[in-house]
Amino acid sequence: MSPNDPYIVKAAEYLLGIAFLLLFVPFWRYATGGVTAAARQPRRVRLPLLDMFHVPAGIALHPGHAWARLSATGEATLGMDDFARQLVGPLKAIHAPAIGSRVVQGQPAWTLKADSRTVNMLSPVTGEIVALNDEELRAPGANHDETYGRWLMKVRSPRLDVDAKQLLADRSARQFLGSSWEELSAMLTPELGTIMHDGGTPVNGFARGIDEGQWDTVARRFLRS
Amino acid sequence: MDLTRRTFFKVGAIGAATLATGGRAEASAAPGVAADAVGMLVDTTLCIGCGGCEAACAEANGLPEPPSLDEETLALRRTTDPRAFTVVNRFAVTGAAEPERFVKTQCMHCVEPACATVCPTRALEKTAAGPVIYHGDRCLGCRYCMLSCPFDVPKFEYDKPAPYIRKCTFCATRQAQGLVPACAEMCPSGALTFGTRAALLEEARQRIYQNPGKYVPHIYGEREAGGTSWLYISDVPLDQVGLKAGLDQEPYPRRAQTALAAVPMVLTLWPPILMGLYALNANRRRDEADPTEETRHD
Amino acid sequence: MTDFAANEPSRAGFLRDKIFLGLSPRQYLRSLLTPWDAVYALVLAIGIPCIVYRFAYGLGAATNLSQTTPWGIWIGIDMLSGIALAAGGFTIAAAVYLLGLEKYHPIVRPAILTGFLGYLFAVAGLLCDLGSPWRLPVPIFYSWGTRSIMFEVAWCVFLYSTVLFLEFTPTLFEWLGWSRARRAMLKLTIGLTVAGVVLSTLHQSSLGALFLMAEPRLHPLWYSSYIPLYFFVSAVVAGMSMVIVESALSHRIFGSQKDPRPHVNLDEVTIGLSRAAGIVLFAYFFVRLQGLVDSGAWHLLPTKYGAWYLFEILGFILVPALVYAHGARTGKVRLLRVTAGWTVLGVVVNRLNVSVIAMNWTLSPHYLPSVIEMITTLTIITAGVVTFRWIVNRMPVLHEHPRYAVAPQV
Repeated sequence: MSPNDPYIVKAAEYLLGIAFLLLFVPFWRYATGGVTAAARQPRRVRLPLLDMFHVPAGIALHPGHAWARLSATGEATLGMDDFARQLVGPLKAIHAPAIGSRVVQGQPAWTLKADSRTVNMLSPVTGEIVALNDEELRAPGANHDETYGRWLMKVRSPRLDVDAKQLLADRSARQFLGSSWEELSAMLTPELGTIMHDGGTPVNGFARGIDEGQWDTVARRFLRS
Repeated sequence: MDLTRRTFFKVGAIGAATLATGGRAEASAAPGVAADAVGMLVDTTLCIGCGGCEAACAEANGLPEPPSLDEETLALRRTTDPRAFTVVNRFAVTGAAEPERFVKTQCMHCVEPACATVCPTRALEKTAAGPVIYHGDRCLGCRYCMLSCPFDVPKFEYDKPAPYIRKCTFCATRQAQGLVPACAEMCPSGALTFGTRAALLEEARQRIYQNPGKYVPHIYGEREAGGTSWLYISDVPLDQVGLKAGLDQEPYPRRAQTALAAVPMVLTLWPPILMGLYALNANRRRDEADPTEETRHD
Repeated sequence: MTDFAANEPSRAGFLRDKIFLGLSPRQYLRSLLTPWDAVYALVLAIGIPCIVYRFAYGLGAATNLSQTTPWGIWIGIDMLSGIALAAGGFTIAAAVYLLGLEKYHPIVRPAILTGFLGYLFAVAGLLCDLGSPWRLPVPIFYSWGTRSIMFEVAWCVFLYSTVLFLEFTPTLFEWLGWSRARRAMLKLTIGLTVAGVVLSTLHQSSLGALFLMAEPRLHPLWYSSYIPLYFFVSAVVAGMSMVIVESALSHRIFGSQKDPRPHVNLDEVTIGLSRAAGIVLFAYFFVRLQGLVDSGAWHLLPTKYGAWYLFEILGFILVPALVYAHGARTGKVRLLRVTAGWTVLGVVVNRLNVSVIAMNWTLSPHYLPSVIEMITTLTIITAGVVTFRWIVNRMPVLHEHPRYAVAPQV
């Protein structure tokens, strides 16, 4: 029974393998467990579409993809919806008229600036600008989780209830976003398919994905400006 | 080294499939080597340490003249080098009438040489006739042959900006002209016998049988490293005269061949496995995208 | 964001925008006057003449290599360790593109760039080591030693370097603004990733298989018929650890181009990679033990080499495995980064053990690298770092090119 007896050696190898298995179970549980584990559970892959179709109560959309939250006091908070953000991608700045200026429903209210080109967005309501979100205008964020929290301007209007009739809410808002998406996806190039397989949407904006050189034209088509 | 055979088969661990194919990858001993391949028998009992073989070798290969085998030179344990393809060393022995033996070393010209097998460019080549020859114009200078040779034979011209591997060629060019190797031609004592390997094995056996008690009953090179073209017999234990003990009896290249047998298996099986994983994940992603589709059409 | 507006750069604009980081040549040169640049310049100023010396006077003059020790640190560190540490390229690419682990998407590009440069400079080290580097094309084009493991390694390294370059081309094309070429290359992503895994499996293990032939020379505690497996598994660990180290360093050094994407959480990436590395390392420890049982070399454990062997498998394998698990469990990112650095060092030590330290172990005096060998190795590593920095400062590696940015939805 020398330690080099091939039968002993083989048995030792098997025993070592079994010992490994026995130790591996606690090791695995230890390594993959822990206090922060819950936070690190892989979340289900969430496509941007889910966000895009979600329109909170109290929010109304304009066909130019601006949103408005109307208050009973005659004041409206305005912003751009998630579709518009994904369409144009990251922005350098948003130009808006000064406080006190007047915006008109369906007329350009603010200007998106990405590279050298700009695209106007239409105002969902008519009224006088009473407040501007300077921070957001100067450095527009990209996180679409809080799209309807990040407003651009507040407008005081005497005829909000009239304007509201031109806006889409709830089911019709969702349908509107759905059809916008369908129109957009029909224009997607195979390259965007490749990007999708990469697991995401182009945050540079679908418009640029569709036509690099003329992205502003594409954007205007959807933003109706 | 009784473990060798077992470990040899286990190289297949890198690919289970290897076990099925690897061990039998090269069942016949020496692929492409003729049955009448040449060899050389060195009878260490006959060598007188004259150094004639060294001088003849140097002349035949255009090498610098070797030192004469005086007491000063023989006191050293010399090795072959880029300027000396063969050297004769003196060994003090115990338990024999004569207190010393002279033993010539050079390339053993293995039947299945490690150096030729490991060479990425076939710069070293085992010829069907027996010699292991060298094509310098292909040599990268990677020196893997030096690392692989169980007899430490290939030597490298470290001192040159454009270096080559140098070693005994068994006088392959002389042999092609019908001449015997220079060392054997010169040897005055009959210590070197040139012939076919098969015949020399027979000759060695006869010498051992016909002189009972004289020789150690072992032909060094018959099985060492899977067999070598150069064969040694001795009247003292072989490790006393500098012949390396403990070498594999399997040819060393077999180890590499077993590992290499995994290559086509990996090439063939990995892509479908990986694409399968990819497809599984792609499907999963599509499934997770589905709820969106419903939302869209509600 | 500087490239954002540069739609159609003129030729002069190209130089200025792409090469000089938007600075004038004078401003650019002045921007190089930093302490680190001075260190790099010093190393290169000493190292390049050393390399010239090696080629002018031969390996014998420049190295301590000998007839008994044909391989030194240029093989042990530059080649074997360099290739092992570059394994992050295929590991991360497979995790993201094949396994769909989107979390690691932001580190694919740095991992692939690290991999590509790792191979490039490993080959640079090899060119220094080869006696006749000008014959490097011989095994590829002229004379095929198909039964040689070295031949297989040469082909795999050649092919995989090409694959890594192709995997890197989308970054390159974004920098150059070649949208169509980029689009074409993106379609090859999956194919290239699979090719990368296959080729890496082959040559990472074959680098170990090289030493199957060295059994008479290699210390029995390091020689094992499992050595191809050891090299492959440890390369996976080394690759992941290297990515942890490299991303941490990049995060600090190139903080100005820190990824603006809100979802990029380097800590999460580090923890995930560490957990994976720890688990693989734990298994690697046990396969090393299998080799020990199998070698029957127990009696060599209570020797100097035995102590060094135990230090390697305990200190560089088992301990980091446990620390990785602990750090991943408790979310101690800094600890994990140190462990990653320690593991990387451990793999380098392993490659040095196999190729240099435990090789020719009965030989006395044992090989020690010459000063020129060490300087050359340092120079090649420095050249790799400088190249990495040059590329990262210009091309969209650590951040996404705004025009092509992708927002993973994890």
